[in-house]
Amino acid sequence: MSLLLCRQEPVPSPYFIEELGIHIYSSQELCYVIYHHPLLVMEDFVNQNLAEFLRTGLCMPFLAERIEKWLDSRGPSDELLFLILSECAYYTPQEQARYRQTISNLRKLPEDEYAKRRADYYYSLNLFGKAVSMYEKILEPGRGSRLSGDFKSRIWNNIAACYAKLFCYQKAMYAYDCAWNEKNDRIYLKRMYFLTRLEPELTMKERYSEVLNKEETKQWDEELEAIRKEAEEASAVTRIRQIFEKDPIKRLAEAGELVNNWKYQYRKMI
Amino acid sequence: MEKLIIGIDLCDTYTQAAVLGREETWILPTVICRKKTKEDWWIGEEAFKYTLVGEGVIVDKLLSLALKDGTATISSVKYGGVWLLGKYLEKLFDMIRAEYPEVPAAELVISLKNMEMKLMDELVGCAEYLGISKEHIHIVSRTECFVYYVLSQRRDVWGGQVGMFSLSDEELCYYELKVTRGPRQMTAIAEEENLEEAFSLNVLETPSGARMADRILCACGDRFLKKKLFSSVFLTGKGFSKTDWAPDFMKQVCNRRRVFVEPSLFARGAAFKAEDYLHERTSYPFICICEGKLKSTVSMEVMKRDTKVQIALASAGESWYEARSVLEVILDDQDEIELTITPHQDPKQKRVVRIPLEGFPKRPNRTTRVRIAVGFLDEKTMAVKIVDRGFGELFPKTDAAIRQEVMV
Repeated sequence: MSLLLCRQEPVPSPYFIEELGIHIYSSQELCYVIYHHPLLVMEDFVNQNLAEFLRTGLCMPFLAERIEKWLDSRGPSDELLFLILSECAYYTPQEQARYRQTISNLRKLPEDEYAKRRADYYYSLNLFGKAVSMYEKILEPGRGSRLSGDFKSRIWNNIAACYAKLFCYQKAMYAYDCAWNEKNDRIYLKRMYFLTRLEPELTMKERYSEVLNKEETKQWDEELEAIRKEAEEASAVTRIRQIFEKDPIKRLAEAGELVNNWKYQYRKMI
Repeated sequence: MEKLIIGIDLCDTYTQAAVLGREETWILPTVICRKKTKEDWWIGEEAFKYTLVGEGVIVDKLLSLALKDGTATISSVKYGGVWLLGKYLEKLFDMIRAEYPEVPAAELVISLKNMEMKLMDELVGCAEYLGISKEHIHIVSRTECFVYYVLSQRRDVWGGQVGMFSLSDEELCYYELKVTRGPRQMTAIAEEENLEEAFSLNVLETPSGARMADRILCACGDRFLKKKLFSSVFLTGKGFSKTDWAPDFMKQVCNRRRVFVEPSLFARGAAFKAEDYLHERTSYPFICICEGKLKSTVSMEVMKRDTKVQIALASAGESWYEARSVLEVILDDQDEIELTITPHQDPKQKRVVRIPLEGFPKRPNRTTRVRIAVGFLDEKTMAVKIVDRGFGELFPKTDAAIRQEVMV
């Protein structure tokens, strides 16, 4: 139990972390981001801009200089993350040791698995556009040829999921198709079927009619219906309903705010 | 003279003003008079003069009037007590500045008998209106002025105990000062006692009244000075502007002691204090414990990097009126704020005050930043305000706040 003393002076200009869509105002927040988002910060996070922020924004010129010297002489390294955590003293030495272990375990992963983990992490942050490009990089010619069919199918599945989240159903359908080509898992069929239900103009390829059976599709329809019913009661839908129950002026204002928020979220996803 | 360093002792009857480096002081009744026919104002003896000839209307007890938000109506115009006090100070300043044209006022210390926050706020407001910025205006107690005046004298004057009698129309008061050496710093402890034996100075106009007053003072002297060793004794106030009316008291008080008479001691002490504000390093390296000063230190234990340190939010010897501090901390597995109150004179009596952070949002550990602000409502009451500051945009702040008064 203790109280950590903080600097009170406001930061002249905060540091923007694009991936999280947030500004950082203190060394503690910076440490929090580093500690809780290792996959986000392991590549190129510590750079010249961050060093400048440490110098001018957080008044930590010595740390900034050490980082700059390191970057100049040895290039990016995980050691720089450990250096920031240790200099800011927001986390205990035990926590810092745990973090070192996490980073070391991630570094020990095979290259493609590590790349997939990073892309998955971006997916979890709703950064679907970035995640897609990271997944696609894994499948690039030359690199993708040595991957197992199972691994590739999982990558295609994730690409499809990203496109579906971005409402690009056609691209999602193509990605599921590729996933099926790599591994004949019926879950991909199910997802393609759901895509056709979400976007009636989409159709599954001719070849799938042989593998689909009516009983199965009937079960999927029931499942979809249940999900739709559940979605109708979701808090986001209830909120929209509430907005439209209000008088026209309030309705317009709140609807405008909601749409703007959707736009902002969507722009972030791309 | 490059800068005006002013000390003013204000009370309902008399005002004393001193400028550092000036031999004489101004002593004038705290009254203001407005000409009946137009907006011309006079203060002090002049105010009496114009009132007596029937040209003006006088207002007295200006401090009390301002304190109780009173008003005075002169020639059908209603004036607020604070406004009149401000006008009085303006005229007083005009009087001082007339002697030092073109010299800017650098520091002003006003001494008061009663340190009431409302009056202090009003006085600061008035002085700011007169063009002195807030950081150069300080309000202190008379006891503190006594301490500064005595300690500005040679060391042998205050090496032992120092006593003082203040006699004016309003009061008869006894002050005592003792300087003790601590392991790190000297401490000046001063106390005052208002004596019930106070009498009107009018009685001194008759021989029998003067004899009676002398007897009263002798009794007081007997009570406070007997069986004690004093390095010096001071006599101040309008009552001691002459001492021939009290032969017995003077004989008693001067017996094997050095006695100094200084009618404007409080104003001069205020001027010494004002001068000290101009120096980066104080010329009075001691902790002053007296009226208007905090008698305890309020601190908090915090982690600074990996080390636990005590941070003082307010220190003993600081003026309670000026003592305020703000700091921000992050809660590490803690849902309350602990303040340690340590009396300067008896550190063993220290106590801990816990303020639970009720109503604050539940967040992951170390993601709640709180701002702790402390200030004082009077010598013994500290107001603590704790506000939720969130954790940047990761955990936005809420309106959660706690305000608590703590007795120190």
